[in-house]
Amino acid sequence: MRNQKCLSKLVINSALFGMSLAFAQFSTGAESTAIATTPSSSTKLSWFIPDGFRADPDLFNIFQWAKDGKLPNIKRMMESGSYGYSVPVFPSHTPANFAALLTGMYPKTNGVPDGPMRVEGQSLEKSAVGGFSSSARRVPAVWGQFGHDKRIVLLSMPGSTPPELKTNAVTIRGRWGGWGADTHSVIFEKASIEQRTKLARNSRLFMQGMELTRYLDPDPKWKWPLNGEEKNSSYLKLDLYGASVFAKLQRTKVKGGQRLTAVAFSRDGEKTEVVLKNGQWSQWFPIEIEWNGRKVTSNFKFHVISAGPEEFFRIRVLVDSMNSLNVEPPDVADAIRSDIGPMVDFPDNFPAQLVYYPDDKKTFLSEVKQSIDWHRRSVDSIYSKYHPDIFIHDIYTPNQMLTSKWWMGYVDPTSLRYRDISDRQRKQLWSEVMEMYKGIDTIVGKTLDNADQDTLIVFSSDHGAIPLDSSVQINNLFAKKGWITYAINPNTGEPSIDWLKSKVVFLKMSNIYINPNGLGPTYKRTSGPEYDALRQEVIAALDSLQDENGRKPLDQAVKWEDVESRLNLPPDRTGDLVIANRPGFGWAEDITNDGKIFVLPLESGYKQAVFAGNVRGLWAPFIIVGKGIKRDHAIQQPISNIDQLPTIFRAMNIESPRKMEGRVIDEIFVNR
Amino acid sequence: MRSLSIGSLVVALVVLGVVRNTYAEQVDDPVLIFGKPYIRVSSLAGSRAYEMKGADGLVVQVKEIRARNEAVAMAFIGDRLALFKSVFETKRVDYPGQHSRVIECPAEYKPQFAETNREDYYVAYFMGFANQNKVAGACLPDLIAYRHMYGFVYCKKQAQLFELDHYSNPKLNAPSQFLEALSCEP
Repeated sequence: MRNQKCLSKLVINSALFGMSLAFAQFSTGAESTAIATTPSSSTKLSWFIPDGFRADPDLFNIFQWAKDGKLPNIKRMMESGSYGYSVPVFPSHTPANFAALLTGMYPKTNGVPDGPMRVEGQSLEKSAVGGFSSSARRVPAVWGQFGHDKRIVLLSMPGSTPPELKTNAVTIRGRWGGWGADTHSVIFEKASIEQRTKLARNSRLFMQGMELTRYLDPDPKWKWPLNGEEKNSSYLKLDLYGASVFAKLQRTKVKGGQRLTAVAFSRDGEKTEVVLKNGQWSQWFPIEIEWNGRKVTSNFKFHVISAGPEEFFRIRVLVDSMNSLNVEPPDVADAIRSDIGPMVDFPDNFPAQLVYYPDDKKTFLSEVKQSIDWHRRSVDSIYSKYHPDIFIHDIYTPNQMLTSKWWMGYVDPTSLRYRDISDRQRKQLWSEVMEMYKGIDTIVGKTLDNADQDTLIVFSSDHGAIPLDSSVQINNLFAKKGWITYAINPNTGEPSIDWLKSKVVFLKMSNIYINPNGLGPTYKRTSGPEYDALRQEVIAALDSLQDENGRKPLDQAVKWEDVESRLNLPPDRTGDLVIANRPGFGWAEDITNDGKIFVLPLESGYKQAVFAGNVRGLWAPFIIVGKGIKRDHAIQQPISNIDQLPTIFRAMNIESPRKMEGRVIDEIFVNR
Repeated sequence: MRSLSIGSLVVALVVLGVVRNTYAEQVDDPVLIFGKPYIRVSSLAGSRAYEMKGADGLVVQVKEIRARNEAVAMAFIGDRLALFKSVFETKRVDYPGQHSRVIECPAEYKPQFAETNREDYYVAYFMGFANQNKVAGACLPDLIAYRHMYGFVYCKKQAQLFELDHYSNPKLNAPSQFLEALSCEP
């Protein structure tokens, strides 16, 4: 027994010694590294894929930033491996490009050309397949090709849920997948008809579902504590996921009247747990919530975005993104939470909510920091608890920031909004963007620290982001043409399409559905002279469309018969036309009373339906470090996102059971 | 000096993969579950997992879940079935728009729930379809590769809880045969 203990200790010590040797290759800088000298293959993989992490040779030149010392861990990777740019497949958004990265195949083969996907025989109102779901894929993802003996952890990965891996794996969903308990963070704001109208649909996450911004007035019936005597307060009850929190709005006399100066919070309506002034955050508070009739342990964190004159308040309740009902296996939520605290997966919401008031930006930035902190700490936690052979990790924060209202439109000189601010203001915006990039770099650092010499380390992203100057409300054009028949819903004030009488409609993200005999009740792809004529008319209408500056939004309109050969898309999951837009524009579904086609969007960044080959702002980084990979090697030409997995498998000496469409990037291997 | 050289040897063996990482669970010989032989497979987060493969693409995956008593087992079953059911609920689309709002699995592809409470065991399951990656939620004909039964078996006398994924050829009636032969005796 004693001998056994000694041996165990010896094995552990020796393993630690070996690991420390492995770590030394990164921690001592480029001169001492020796990772690429062994011409054998890596047996482990650590692949970090921050979403929307723009990298291009012109403006977001992260390789130069790294060389300048701003991104020291990316610099370590560059010095230890090979690096270059990777071009997204079309459409240049998250679901299509994560599927391309994770399968090494085009959408025409992996079956994921979009987020919402419609098919023949079903209503266009209801999408049949969601591109973020693992069930949408027609081929295995990378994690399904390693066999039972590899320990696999997937963190916040699009397309990973419902979990495909039920043994020897951990799947932490984060935002994605349409599986399990969604607990979005929410804003509570003073009821205001003007603002509510302004937000309209965007305040809702889901039309029949919860609102991401909720409007309410103080009500004395929520007074707390019941025996308290406070004259200068008013009271709110904040209901969220079956739980209630009580808030007390505290007023102070100021010149000319009173104003709100602080908000107190209580979970039981008796004890004040925290009092927050403008801009302050509370700690996390554990709370039991409900989801589909099940009790779930969660956590809330309170934040006063602003409270001020005229009784105005805007309160953010951040909700733990991880719980036992959105991870696999379920005890992982408690295990990781007890180690590093509740999960902040990414800032803001989708659709964006922190875009309406100047103070929203501060809240957004604070959530950026919290999400990066959580994801950085998660790397140590996951490695120490689960010792994964394969760790694939996404964080959505870069995409949220670069497509939000506040940055891209003002830092990229190709934007029409670029000159709306001063250079001094722009310098501040750049420093905020750079902080986010540095934050991602610190996660890279943790990835490197936890890798051993058998680990292939890959850093990449699904796409970049470019300025969005104008939303193109194409359905307003189709309505003017008489191709869409709609009525205004008296309850919501929103247009409702009469699918039976409508012949042409645009639906996200890049599809136009056409049938001269009507688009409902179910969609049927048709043919014949009438169809051909109408489709040609639609193409002509789109082609002649131009904004007030004479700029045309349409890049290409591709008929469904040609989408496979020209765009690598699956014809059975696309519309009758697939439309690509030129940079600066973005397609939108809205039908509005004013009939405007070109409108200024709230967001200032975009990535959805642009051909990325010549639009460098949509490019993303690819850095790879491991056995047999050249060190300090700049890849000569941009690669495609579908090339990454074949290259990774080659580096790991893995034979994929199915031939991938991407190519192996031969030039990065020591022995080609 | 001597221990260093032994240590170096072990390091070398670890690096070469000769010494198995002690964290991974051992894969044992076949074990009898529900009266059938299963192969134990590696499991990362503590529970024991087993798999059986048969003819016509049959794959049965079983995970033994720790449950102190029947009440804990039933609560766990309730949570997990709610989670499974959520895949098929009408939900918002990934990129919502004015007219892109809802993802909905057509009724014909939604799994059907059933449960049986016998003296020796309780079984609750959904019967539906899975895609070729063995993921529930195949809601289009071209995605369907397996008939998929997902559920739980609680053996009362043994106080054992099993999570069950049963994948079979959709043209066959393998799940019914499995359920008919179900037994908590080894």
